[in-house]
Amino acid sequence: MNKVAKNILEVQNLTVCYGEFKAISDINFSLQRGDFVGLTGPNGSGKSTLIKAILGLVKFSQGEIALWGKAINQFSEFSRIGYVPQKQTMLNPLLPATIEEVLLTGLLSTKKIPRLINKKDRQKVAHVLATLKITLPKDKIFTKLSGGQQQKILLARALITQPELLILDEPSSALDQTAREDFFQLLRKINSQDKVSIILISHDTGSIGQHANKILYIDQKQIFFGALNDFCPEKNPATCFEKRGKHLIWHQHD
Amino acid sequence: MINFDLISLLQYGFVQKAFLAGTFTALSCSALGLFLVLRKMSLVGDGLSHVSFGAIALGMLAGVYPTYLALPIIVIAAILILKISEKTKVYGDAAIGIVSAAGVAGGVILASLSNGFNVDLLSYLFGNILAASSQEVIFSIGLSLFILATIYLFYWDLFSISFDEEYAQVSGIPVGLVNYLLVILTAITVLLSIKVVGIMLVSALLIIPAVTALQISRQFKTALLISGLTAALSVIIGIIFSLLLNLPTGATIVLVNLVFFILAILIGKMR
Repeated sequence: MNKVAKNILEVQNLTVCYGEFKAISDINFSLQRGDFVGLTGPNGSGKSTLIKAILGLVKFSQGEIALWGKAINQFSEFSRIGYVPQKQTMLNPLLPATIEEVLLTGLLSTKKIPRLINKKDRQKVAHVLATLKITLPKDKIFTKLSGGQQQKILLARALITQPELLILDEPSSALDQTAREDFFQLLRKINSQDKVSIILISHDTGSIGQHANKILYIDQKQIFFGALNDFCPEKNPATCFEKRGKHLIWHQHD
Repeated sequence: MINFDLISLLQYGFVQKAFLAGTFTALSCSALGLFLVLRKMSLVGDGLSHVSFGAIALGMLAGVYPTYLALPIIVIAAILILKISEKTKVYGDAAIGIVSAAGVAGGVILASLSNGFNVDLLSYLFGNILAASSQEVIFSIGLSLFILATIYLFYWDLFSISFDEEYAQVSGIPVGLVNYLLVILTAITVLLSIKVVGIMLVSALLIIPAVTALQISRQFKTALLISGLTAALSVIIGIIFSLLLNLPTGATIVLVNLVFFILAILIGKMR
């Protein structure tokens, strides 16, 4: 149990099924403070399912998940986790939410019922915008922003509570080359300066190789978790995946 | 026949009571309706209004004041709609259809067991805000204030799940419970609206002001304001027109609401 308590996240023998279909099977890994884990694997390998199980969004059939030593069904310190979802298209396009309102929803995890917003919360919004160098007016409507701007606001929403664990599900898919590089630099800074642990789902194995210090590779047949150097001594994940006979779908973003 | 003596009409107690009860009901409908529309749950109100038909018919048969008996029945029906879609292989819209059909079928049978479709039952079907008693006005204001206060206290929970349900869940917001809260508040609102526009047109009060506001509002808070304003104005203008033109009040209120909606579409297109 001591080992569990030391880890930020401990996943043991995790299996998630959707009806008869086994989405992920027997996953084991743990995360320490300051880890930057690149989570990758072919489409349909269960990367998003794994993340959703860690976030308590899907029920798992077998295994255990512990966050800061607490079993997930007893965990309630939601503000310690920041989450950037996969697609902005999951957000309600009919709701004319301003940047400030979107960021304020990030603070709800710090509140108990009734979750009311005060002046201090609005100051936190201004602070996170300044920290991430976002100069957009805070009353601008979120859905009117470009894909890159939306992604940055969603990252700001995830960071507003100053989380210790940041989980990102393919955050760079809507970004162009320059915006993607800026985004990864920002993640690197958050990871190295503030020691925020990061789990990043991405098909962009080049960026994972460049920024992550650990890799979690899953596919239907096998799982690898460990230091990037062990997985890939030549530091080129794309080649490593090919050599290991995996069916990685290489996404060319350029 | 057109009655132009508006000023003297407005001095009648029954007209003032209608304004008061109608405006408060419209405000709670508009605030709640906005969240229902954004959550794609707007037809819950329609289904529950049909259930209220059965509940009111039961009240009449039992000799109990129908509104008081209908309140717990509609609340149970609202919970049932969510339970059916959660626990069985039935989508939400189909669950609404099932509960709604059960309400209407029950109502028709109960009505046939009593005196059939008498004047009282018809007044519930088409609304009769001008006949609201002082007790009913107090009941309407009290419940409307309760609904508005609850929406205020759960505003950010409702906002968050309406914008990004998955993230709301990750934030620790009990999405399932908030959905139950939303349908229970809808059940209460449906009951309030029956007096204003009648069972047949209840969903109009919940849906039209909300979709009107969403056509022209650039911010959510503006949408709440516009929704409330158009709902309240529709009730006031609808009552005045129905008195002046000797038209059914409930239907006139709904038509005024529709005029606002069409205007909002035109304004939205011109921008």
